[in-house]
Order: sequence, then C-alpha cells, then structure tokens
Amino acid sequence: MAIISPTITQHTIVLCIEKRERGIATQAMLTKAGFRVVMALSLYDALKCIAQEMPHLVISEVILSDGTAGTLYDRLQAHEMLKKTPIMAHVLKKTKEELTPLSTRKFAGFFLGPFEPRGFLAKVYEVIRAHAAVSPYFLDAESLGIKTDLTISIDAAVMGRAGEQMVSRSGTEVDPAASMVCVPASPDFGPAVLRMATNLRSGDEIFNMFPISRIIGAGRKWVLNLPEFKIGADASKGPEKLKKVVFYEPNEARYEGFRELLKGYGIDLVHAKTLPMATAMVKRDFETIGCVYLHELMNDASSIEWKGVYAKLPGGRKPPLIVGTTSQNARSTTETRYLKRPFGMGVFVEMLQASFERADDIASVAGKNAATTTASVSVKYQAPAILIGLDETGGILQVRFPLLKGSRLNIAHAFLQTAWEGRAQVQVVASAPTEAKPDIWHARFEAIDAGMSKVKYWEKLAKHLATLPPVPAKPAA
Amino acid sequence: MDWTCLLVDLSGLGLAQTWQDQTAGHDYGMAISCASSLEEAQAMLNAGSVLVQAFFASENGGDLQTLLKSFQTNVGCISDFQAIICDEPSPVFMAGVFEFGIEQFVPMATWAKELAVVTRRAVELMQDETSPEFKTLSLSRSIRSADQGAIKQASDAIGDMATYDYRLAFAKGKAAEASGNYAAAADAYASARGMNKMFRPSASSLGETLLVTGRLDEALDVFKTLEKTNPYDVERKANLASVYVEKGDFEMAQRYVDAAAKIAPNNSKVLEAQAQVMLCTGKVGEAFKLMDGMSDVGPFFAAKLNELGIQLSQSGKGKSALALYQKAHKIVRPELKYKITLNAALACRRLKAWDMAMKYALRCEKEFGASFAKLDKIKESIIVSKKQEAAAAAQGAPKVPLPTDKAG
Repeated sequence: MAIISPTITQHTIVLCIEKRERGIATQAMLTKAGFRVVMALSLYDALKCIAQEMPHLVISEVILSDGTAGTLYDRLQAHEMLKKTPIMAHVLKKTKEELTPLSTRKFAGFFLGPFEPRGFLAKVYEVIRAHAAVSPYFLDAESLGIKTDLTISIDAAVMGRAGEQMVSRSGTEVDPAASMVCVPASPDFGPAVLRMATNLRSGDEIFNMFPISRIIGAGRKWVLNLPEFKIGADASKGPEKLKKVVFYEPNEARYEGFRELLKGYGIDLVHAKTLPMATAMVKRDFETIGCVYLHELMNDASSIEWKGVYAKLPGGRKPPLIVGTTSQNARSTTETRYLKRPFGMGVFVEMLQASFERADDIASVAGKNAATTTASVSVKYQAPAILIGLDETGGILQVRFPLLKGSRLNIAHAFLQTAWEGRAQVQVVASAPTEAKPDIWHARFEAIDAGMSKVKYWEKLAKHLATLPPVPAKPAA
Repeated sequence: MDWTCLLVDLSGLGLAQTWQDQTAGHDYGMAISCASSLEEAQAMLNAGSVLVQAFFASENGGDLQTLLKSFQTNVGCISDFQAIICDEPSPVFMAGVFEFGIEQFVPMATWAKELAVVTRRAVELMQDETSPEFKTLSLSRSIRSADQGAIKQASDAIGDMATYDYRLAFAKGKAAEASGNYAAAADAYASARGMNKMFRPSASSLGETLLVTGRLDEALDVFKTLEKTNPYDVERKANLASVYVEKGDFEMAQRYVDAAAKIAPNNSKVLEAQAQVMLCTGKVGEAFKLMDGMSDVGPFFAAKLNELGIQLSQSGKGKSALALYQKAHKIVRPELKYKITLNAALACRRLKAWDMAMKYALRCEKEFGASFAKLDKIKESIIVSKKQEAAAAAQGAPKVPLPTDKAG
C-alpha cells in the first residue's frame, strides 16, 4: 500500500470524561493541534457520539459517570462496524478501581497520571499513527480487489479569450500546478492540455484562465478561434493603466533588473523597498494598480498590517496579489496567487499578464445581458488518478498535481458509481505531496454531503464491498 | 536506452565530491553523472545518452550558453528536460536562459528531490513514442547525424502534430533548415512563434532564417522586438550586426558588434559578425584569423563562406578557395558540411584536380547521407572531363575549354 501523507486527514476524536471542567483544557489543546474534538460526559453520550461520528480515536477516562472505559470497550467490540475504533484510556490514578476495567481488554493506548499537555499530545499522536493514520475504517483499494485506475474530471464551459488567456467558467478552482486535459463534449473539437491556471471569483462564479501559449494538443485549433472579450475598453480603466505593478523586493538591484526587462513586455514596475511601503502604495492607489507582487509574506507585524489593509479593499477592485514563496505546499487561491521561488522569466511574465484581468470584467462579459458573444463550449477537464482506498466519508486519490481544497470532482469508476448509487461527484477536503515523491499528490475526498449520515454511507458501501469476490492471496516472496 | 541525467557544476561548488551523497536515496529513473568542466559535459552530451541536464550556475556565462546550445543540438529544445539549480537567480540570468526556453529553477536546498521529479517525468515521456518529446529527440538525433534520409523520416513522423505543438513546429523548422529549405524553416518557426509567443527559441530562429533568406526588414523587426525584452543577449546583438551588414549600414553593424564583443568577446556568433564586417570591408585576412575561434557556425555565415569561396575559385584563386573551404568545413554545423564539400569538389574540378574533385564529391555524398541529382551530374562531369583530358593528352591536341568552367 502507498504511504499516505498524514496531513491530509483531519482526525476526529471523541473525548469521554466524567467532569466537563477536566475536559475543557484537553479539548482546547487537541483542537489547537488540528483535531476535531467531540466531548461526551457519560458512557451513554459516548456511545451515541461514536455511532454518529465514527471517530478515528476515542479517549476515555477509566471511570465515567455511568460506567467505565472497559464497558465502552466491550460495547464497541460487540458492534461489527465500530469495533475497529481505537480507544486510549486515561488512567487518572493507579487505583484498583481504575485498573480493573482495563485488564483483559486490548486498548490502543494508555495515559497514566493527571493531564500533562505535552506527554498527552505525544501519546495521542502515537496512538493515531499506529491505529488510525488515515482512519480505522480505511480500506486499501488494492486489497479490496477493486480497480484502482480512474479518471477525475471537472465540468466547465469555455467562454472565450481575454488577451492571451483562455477563459472558462467552472464550479471549482484549478491549481496553477495542475496539468489537465480539456475534453470538449462535441467531437468536432479536439482535446488540449491546459496548464498554469489562474482563478478569478466574482460573487459565486469561478472563472479559470489558462495562458493560450501553454496550451498544447489538437484542441489548440479551436481555442485560437474563440471569440475575444473586449475587456478594458473603458477609458477609465485603459489597459496601459492596468499594467502598473507594485513590486515589493528588498533587493534594489533585482528590482532594477526586473524593471528593465519587464518594460519590454509592457509592464511598469513601481518599487516598494519594504512591505510597509507596498502597503501604503496599495492603500492610496489601489484603483490604478494592475497587480501587486510581494517577494515574500511572513507572519511579522508588517505582513499582518498588509493583510489587514488588503482585506479591507473592495472585492471587485482590489489588485490581484502575487506572493513569492519557497514553500512547496503554498496553494494559490483567487485572493492570493503563490509563485514558487526561484521562478522562470516566462512563468513570471505570464502570471503578471494574467493578473491584469479582473473577475468583475469577465463576469460582466459572461453575464446574460452582456453585449459580447461568448463561445460556451462545454468541456471536461480530465486527469488520470489512482484510487488508494476508501473510508467512512470518502477516500484517498493519488494524482500527479495538487488538487485544491473544495474542488468538486466527477469520478468515473464503475464500482464506486454503483456503490454511490449513480452519484459521481466528490469534494476534495485536503491534499498534500507524498514525502518521497513531491510530484505525486494524495487528495482526500468526501463522497457525502453535509448533513448526510456517515454511518448510513458506510453501511451502504460495506454492503457493496461485501459483494466483491475475494482477492486471492499474494504468493509469499 | 539507458538515459543519463547530467549534473554540470559551473558554480565551483565542488559537487564532484558530494553529488553521490546528495542524490542517494532518490529515485531518478536514470543514471546520474556529474561534470565539472565544459569539456567533460560536452563529451557526455556528444556521447548521446544524456536526456536531462541540470546546471549549478548563477550567471549566464559562455560555458553555460555553449552547453545549452549543445543540449539543443543533441537532445532538442525541450525545456522541461533542463533545470538550473540556484537560489535567487538574477533577472538578467533568468532572461538569459529564457532565450533557450528554460524556466525551471530549482532551489539548492531541495535540488536532489526536485530533480528526481524532472528525470522520472522525462523517462516516462521517452517511453511513449507518440509524445512530442520523443519525436523531438528523434528529429534532433537525425539532424545531428546530418543524414538527409533520416531527417526526412523523423520529420515526416511528426505528422500534423507540428500544427498544434510549438515544440514540434520548432523542431520541424530545424529539420527544414538542415535540409537547406529555409523558406519552409521560416514558416515553421513563424508557426511555433504564433502558438507560443513566450517561446524565445522560435522567434530567434525565425529571425536568423529570415536573415539567411534575405528578408532583412522582417528579420530586423523580429530581432528588435526580442531585444526590447532582453537587451543582454550577445547572439542577438551579433545577429542585428549581421542584418545591418547586409543592409549596408556598417556603422550600425559595428555598433552592435562592439556591444556584443563587450559582453562576450569570444562568443562564436560575435566572431562571425566581426568576420562578416571585415569581409565586407575588405579585411579578408583578418576575417580568416577570426575563423579559428568559431564553432557550430550556422547557415548564414556558412553561406557567406561558400559565396566567398566561389568568388575566389572563379577569379582563378582556386587554392585559396580550397584553403577557405577546409577551414569552413571544420567550423560549420554537421548538416551544413556537405555544401562546403560540394563547393570544394567544384573548386578542384576547376583546378582540373580530377582525383581530388572526385574525393570531395564522394565525401559530399557521405555527409549528405545519399546521392542527389546535382552531385551525380558533377561526378559524371568529373569522369568525362578526366577522360577527355587523358584522350587529348594522348593525341597531343590543344586543350578544349570545359563546358562546366563557369560553375563554382
């Protein structure tokens, strides 16, 4: 089985304690550590919570108001679905009364003594790693004998061209690092590989833009014939004005070098030697600025000030923000576009050029009463993926690029579509590169909608899984 | 095929001692090799197993340029197969390597891990014989071999992919150039440029091809547009100088030559431009001396040398022409050698050195990869002329002027 990145699962913990006040500090600490914590004040409560939440770990004090951790253990063991749930027992005092319920039962872990944050958290991590790295319900697709190859897709409609960008409307943001095949619904149009996406959001609408120069494949032919949007024709927002970029770069020589070279591309850089200078410029002149480039954005006072000022700018008119970063995991959003440093000249120029397009302008062109004709070519952005496994809410996919949190994907997979009763859409809740290979990403998806019962979902899925033929055991090496 | 990823240390980091430790534990999918000098790297590239090239460099020096060109010749203009490892490249450096289409920079801290991504992807693409990268590599190899049959075959294998893939359109341009079809090459480069305006190699090659075909104003337009976005490129300055020489504006030409020589005085292209100015201003001897420092001379200067050789031969200086051809043969690109040899055969024929002429004709056939109509005619005329001369000598008759005496 592939080693799954531990960061893509938000683990749910049910905390069973006798007295609420003892649990508050523990709950706060676990929440801060990234866990989802549900508190139960009795055995009865705990059993109810566990059946609803299907937690990844139960932490229980040994003595509860209406029973013991031992009873809890026995009740879960008696339940076919919940018996895999690991239980960590918290022994407050090493008395006979506390120790007796623990004997002869296989708890996943123990914490002895009064609550001590560091040691307690270390123990929680240890138990989670050992018993529920992904989820105690997680089933490896390969060992289930289901086909692991599948295709993921996003529905979209290509609308036209804005300058050197192909513009499409979809319900989801596409990561700039993603490389997907755009397959038109009509067989008259060929497929094309799209890369370097930029996302724009206007109200509820999400627009994806792809630089035409980076599009390859037979589909280039129809892309080049798409109608051109006349954006920026308004004299007050002439294209010349929009090409001004506030450029925060502490190294003056680097700024000078970029200024000279980018001038040739029609981009005018205005230097901000410090972040407060950039903040002041943007606060004062945001309407005349085409884009802001920040060499880096830390968590210091000036960065916090920047974030505050930028957040207060009116949505549709705020200049797009490009932030240089050395982090592998920084993911772009419609608000902030991350550019991994060191970067190449072409990537930088194209990112700046894409940033001169405004979401509101595109939305007005795409609107029902717009004067401009749009193409509205129905397409699917497709990419191959590998199903790693399934769990109580969805599962884990392996892809060759990052998928953004919240992306809605269609999954083409015969077994899953049967198990999900025809439903094919899932939502990505987290993704991260694998430790060994940074070009391989694991994305955790949820196949259930908000409010849907995990238990019912899992029961249905388990029923379908039971119909699968047994997988022949692999011969020993 | 066993592929190699070539690490080239141009930063003097002492990588030769540490690269094995740094790459240990990563899955590259190919062998890793390290070179610390231009010669070493060049030898590796010429050996033919290099698929990915990664430089430890932070400035756009002559060695880097030479190796980027060499990669383009040996593997193809595949920017995804090349990377520069450095932390904060200067904008001028970024623009310099962007002239070769390179945009992939990898930080020093994580290079071993990130390079593995590049190499694994490259191997995957090579396993797919329909991929543009595979076709580009095949075509580059055939051009390097200078075998016209192989070039045609690899070019035909691209099919209509060149109509929607800028890299293949560019590769097709290189194939047309290698076959001497400069009009088709210009069309292919223009098509590649139209598809991806940010792909600098297509625009640069378009300018050079327009220069060869004498479309000087168009070439000037292309070069000047490129110059605006990167005024530090030495070869473009040399090309601009060549355009101005052709237009007869020697003052502007000299200005660009001086500007280029100031940045890289030993660059082969700069030497070409300098030599061209000298040839046009009558300083032939000095121009000859400059030729010693040139390498991989392209079609434009090669045509100039052929022209000069023909002039020398026709004006009765056959031996000087042969000396020029000998020098030219050493410095031009492999696919252009056959033209030089063909002219050398014609110069020998004019000198009535029949055996030598036939030797050159046969070498031309070998370099071209096959015989062609014009060469067949020349060979036939050499045989006939030799026989006629022998018969005339036997009869003691006066020498009859040959029908081909006016040819180059």
